[in-house]
Amino acid sequence: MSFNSYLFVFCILPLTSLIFSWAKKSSTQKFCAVLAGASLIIYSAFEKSSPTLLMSTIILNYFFIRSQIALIIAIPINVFILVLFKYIFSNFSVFSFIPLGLSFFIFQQISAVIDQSKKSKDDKPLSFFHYMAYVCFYPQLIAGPIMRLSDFLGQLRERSHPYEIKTTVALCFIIIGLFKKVVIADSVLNYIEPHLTMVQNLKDLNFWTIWNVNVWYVIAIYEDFSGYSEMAVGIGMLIGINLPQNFNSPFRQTNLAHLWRNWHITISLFIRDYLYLPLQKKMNRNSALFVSIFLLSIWHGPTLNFAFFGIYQGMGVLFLRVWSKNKKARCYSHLAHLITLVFFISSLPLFYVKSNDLSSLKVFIAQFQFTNISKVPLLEMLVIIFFFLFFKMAPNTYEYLTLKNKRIRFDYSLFDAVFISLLFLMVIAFLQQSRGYIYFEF
Amino acid sequence: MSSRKILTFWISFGALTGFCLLTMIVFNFYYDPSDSIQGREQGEALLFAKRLKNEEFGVQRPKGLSVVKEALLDISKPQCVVLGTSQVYWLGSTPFEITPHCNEKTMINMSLPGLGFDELVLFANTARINRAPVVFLTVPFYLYSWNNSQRWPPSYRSQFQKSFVAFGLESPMDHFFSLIDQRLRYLISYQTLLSSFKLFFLKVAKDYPNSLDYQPLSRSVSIKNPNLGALLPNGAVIWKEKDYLELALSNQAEYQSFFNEVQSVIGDWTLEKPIIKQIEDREWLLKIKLLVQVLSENGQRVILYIPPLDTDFLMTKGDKNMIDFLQSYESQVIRLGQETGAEVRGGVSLCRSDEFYDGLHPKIDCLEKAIKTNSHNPPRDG
Repeated sequence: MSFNSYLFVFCILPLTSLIFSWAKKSSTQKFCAVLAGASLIIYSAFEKSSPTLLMSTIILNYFFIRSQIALIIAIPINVFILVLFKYIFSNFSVFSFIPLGLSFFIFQQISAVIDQSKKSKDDKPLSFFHYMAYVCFYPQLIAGPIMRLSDFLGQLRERSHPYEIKTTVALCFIIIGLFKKVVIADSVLNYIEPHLTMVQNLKDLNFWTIWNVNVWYVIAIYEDFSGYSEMAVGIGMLIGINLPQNFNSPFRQTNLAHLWRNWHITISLFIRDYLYLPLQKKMNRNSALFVSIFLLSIWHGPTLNFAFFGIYQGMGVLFLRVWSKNKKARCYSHLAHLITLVFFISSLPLFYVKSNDLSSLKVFIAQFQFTNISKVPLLEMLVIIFFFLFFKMAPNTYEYLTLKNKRIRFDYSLFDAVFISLLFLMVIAFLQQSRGYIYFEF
Repeated sequence: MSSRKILTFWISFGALTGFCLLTMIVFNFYYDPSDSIQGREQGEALLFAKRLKNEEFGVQRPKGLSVVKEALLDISKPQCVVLGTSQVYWLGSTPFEITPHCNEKTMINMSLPGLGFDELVLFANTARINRAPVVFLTVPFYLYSWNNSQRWPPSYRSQFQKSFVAFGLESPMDHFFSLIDQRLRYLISYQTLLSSFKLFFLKVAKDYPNSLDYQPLSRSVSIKNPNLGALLPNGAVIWKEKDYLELALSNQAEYQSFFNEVQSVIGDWTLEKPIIKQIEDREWLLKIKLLVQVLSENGQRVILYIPPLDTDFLMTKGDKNMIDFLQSYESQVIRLGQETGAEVRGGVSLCRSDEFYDGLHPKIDCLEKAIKTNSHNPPRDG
């Protein structure tokens, strides 16, 4: 099962929403028990899930929190579990797969352990079911958005809100999220796959082919992951828990640092709060920033290309920092936008050519060599330009659904009903050919 | 926001979605482009199948069955029956014999693209009833992988059930329950809708072929570059995917010419690509063992066949553990032969890369080499 399946959309989602809306009327403790239990069942139904590992880490970290064990022990143990399963076992074929959502439930628990360690002993102790519901909460368990424990507990206390309005917005979030994944991301991936395979196998490395793959790949991965995140937000809203925003129009940004701040926002905040800020106390800001970006990159996988990706992105952000200190060195916003996009997109071979040798670097260098430059793929260029103009000018899902955009906003009009209905129809028609989520690999 | 406005929103949404969905279902049901709903076994639906690009519903397979059925009518007392996948299509139009007296005139080749286990049981039962002295049973490495989800129209239901009972296997009822789900998915599929539209426009343009025009191809059709692909007797196209991709990307004109040539022969047939997945059901070998035992008890000589594979190519397309997996698969089939007394022929790593059309389909020389390789069990007399 997956979020992008008929089974989930038409059976599991309505059923769990009904169960949760019933459970909301009971005590918080009971609600959390139902939420945790149902989430664990749903997680078990996913392929490559490992409920035993999930439960073991929950029990272990709950023990850390309750016994107030020093962070110097608790955090390395969590990091060790992550490294063991993600980097060691997968390389030595002990496990044929990395357990689904491993990184995210470990990150979430690290944040919980650190945040709880700052609480005074007089505070009310955290209940096990509250903690289990927080970690297992299924919309965000597999690939985020990473939520803070205090935020989750705060929302549990305030579970009364105008439910019918939330339901409509929640369902629209789910439909738009599904549309982005099932219709856009999957179609782009289907189109680009043969070319991507060629490039990954170091075949046909010329200027247009590589840039074509890069641009389509970035569109696919953005639509895939932001679609998933918006779906998670919608499901969370249906249950009565607002998950944090994970994407905020990253391709609209005019510098690389802002782009990263608006791409996978919750993990950027996690890295900032639990890695960058503590590191800054021990080394200078630039080194701390570089190390943080590098570690975030190699989190994606155990291959060398992710290290190159981290170095390239780190150098880009550091260069930007130095550049922006020079007041004379300003740049027009449109040019800055273009440079940011080109820099970001040019880094993608270091992301998608997964290898432990220099293959990713070969593709990266080849994209700057102007071979076969005369064969301009005009139609593809036009479609790509359309996509990026759309990203720049159209409101994102949050702006549309939460009324932040003054011109295009969701006001329950007939136009909105027709628009959402058409998206839903396309989702239904495309759903059976849908592929797995890209970020489930991480 | 007023609750009346929200209610109006949902009524508009529901009415439009319901209307469009219903229209799509009725339209797809009426045209039923791959004959998945109305269950007509062959006939005109098969004709249109070749005009569809619908990988999901396997357009080549119904046509494959028609070849099998015609073969059954032609030869009522075959010397041998070949059960297998597209990897053994060529058997029957090849100059060599599998066993003495088992040649193109005395053989029924029931191979089918993407053969699933259910289908293997169905054809094995046909071979059992037919009492062919020799049953050449291909054991594809992907059995119980995604290919098994390919379904037949419900009109075949009783035949499947009888076949499973004959071999003492559990009835595949669960597969038929999922068929309902499969058909519903088919009715709301974008692919089906495109195909239905295509049929609709064909009818409007009166470019609607007469069912009597249908003639299965009796031999392969040559294509300009034989190393790029070939059209098989049952209409399936195989190609060397890596070369095809290189050609498609590096030389647009040559690719277009090749593609046009294929299109002129086969219309818009679905083109096959090798898709690699590991075996998910570890009980698969026990089930094959039952087939072999029942056929042997029926007095039939069973030859197990391990089709050769382009292992270099599969390494680049499949999982990193592919070679380990293939070696394990091969040794399990050999052990099965030892346990049941069945002869084992072929082998995974018998041929070089250039002896394949793609990762899965051997050329004739490779096929002959594999058929004649018999190092695992000595053949019995006869």
